[in-house]
Amino acid sequence: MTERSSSEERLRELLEAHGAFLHRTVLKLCSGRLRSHAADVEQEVRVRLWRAVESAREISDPASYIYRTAATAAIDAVRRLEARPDADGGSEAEARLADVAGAEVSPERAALRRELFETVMEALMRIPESRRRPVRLHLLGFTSLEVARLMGASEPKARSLIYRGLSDLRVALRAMGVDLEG
Amino acid sequence: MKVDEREIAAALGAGSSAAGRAACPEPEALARLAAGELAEGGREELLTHVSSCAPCARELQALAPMASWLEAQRARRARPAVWRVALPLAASLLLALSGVLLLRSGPRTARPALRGPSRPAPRVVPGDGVSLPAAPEALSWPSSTEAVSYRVTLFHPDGTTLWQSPVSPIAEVRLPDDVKARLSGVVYWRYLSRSPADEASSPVFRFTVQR
Repeated sequence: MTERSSSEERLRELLEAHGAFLHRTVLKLCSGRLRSHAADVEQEVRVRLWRAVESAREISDPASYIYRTAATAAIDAVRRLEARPDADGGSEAEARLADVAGAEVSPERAALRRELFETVMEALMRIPESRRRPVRLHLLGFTSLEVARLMGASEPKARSLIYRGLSDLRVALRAMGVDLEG
Repeated sequence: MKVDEREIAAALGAGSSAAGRAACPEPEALARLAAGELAEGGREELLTHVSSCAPCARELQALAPMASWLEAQRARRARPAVWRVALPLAASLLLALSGVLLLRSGPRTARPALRGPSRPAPRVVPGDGVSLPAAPEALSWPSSTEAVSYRVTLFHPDGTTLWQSPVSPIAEVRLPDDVKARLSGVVYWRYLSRSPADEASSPVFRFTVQR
């Protein structure tokens, strides 16, 4: 058996065993505007798997490897979409920001938001470092369970850090003339 | 001034998005972070970036469901020893049984490596697996009442794209002469059906051009 046909056989076995998982993984990762690119992402993952098999790389945990490859390909696709120049020469990300600004955020509102950003950044620097990151992740939309996983901590500990951090942030903001409600 | 968490989140998102992405980590690093595969030092460094970068935070959040799945898989693998013996034994018995059934059902053609999961294949022209004396003039497939457009992709056996058709409203695409001239040996292809609500990919089909 030639080296190439041996690689083809390994790839075939890998995809026979994990092809359905690969397909489901890509669909889960390609939500929203990436949905219409799911087939391209799946194809890209297959090509990357092919390259890995061809380079005789050891894949000890195929499911984890496929997940990571799919995740990487999906993020690559998102970044490509964001960077792709549109017909007018601007990027899609810029166009989206401009849409949002035009539809929802007035120049005054954008200026206020910028001012608030700087105030919050300064207030965050005043809270204990151990609570700063969990609070920022919380404010960026991560749940306490997700924060816990990312930090390698337990969920109750992450929740406690977020709760105390928010309390610190509230005090720091109040000292700067901003009342954080809730 | 009174604000709530939502306004702070919007301000943080807008402020950190404006910084550009030159310093953002590689996608693979984010995937490893989500999968819990980074050592503490690397994790700390990445988290410092992610907690101040809204685009990276969004990308990482998109990976969260899969990270949960992987965690469940790892927990399953760590099940008690009795299962580690019993499950392979049961699997071996099933394999042996399926082997007997396969032998009884006669020889089968190996499924090409680049094909997706098994599902009922629609009837396409040229038929799946056929061998042709020359490149086909066109490819066609059953039209769907929900689809508003289609797009076809041809692949080399190693998975690289050979050609992609323009978007077409009908369930047929004619192959341009320069594409036909490049078709030789095994060619894989599939079509994408786009409806107002969704987009679906067909299974991968194959034909062989004998030159």
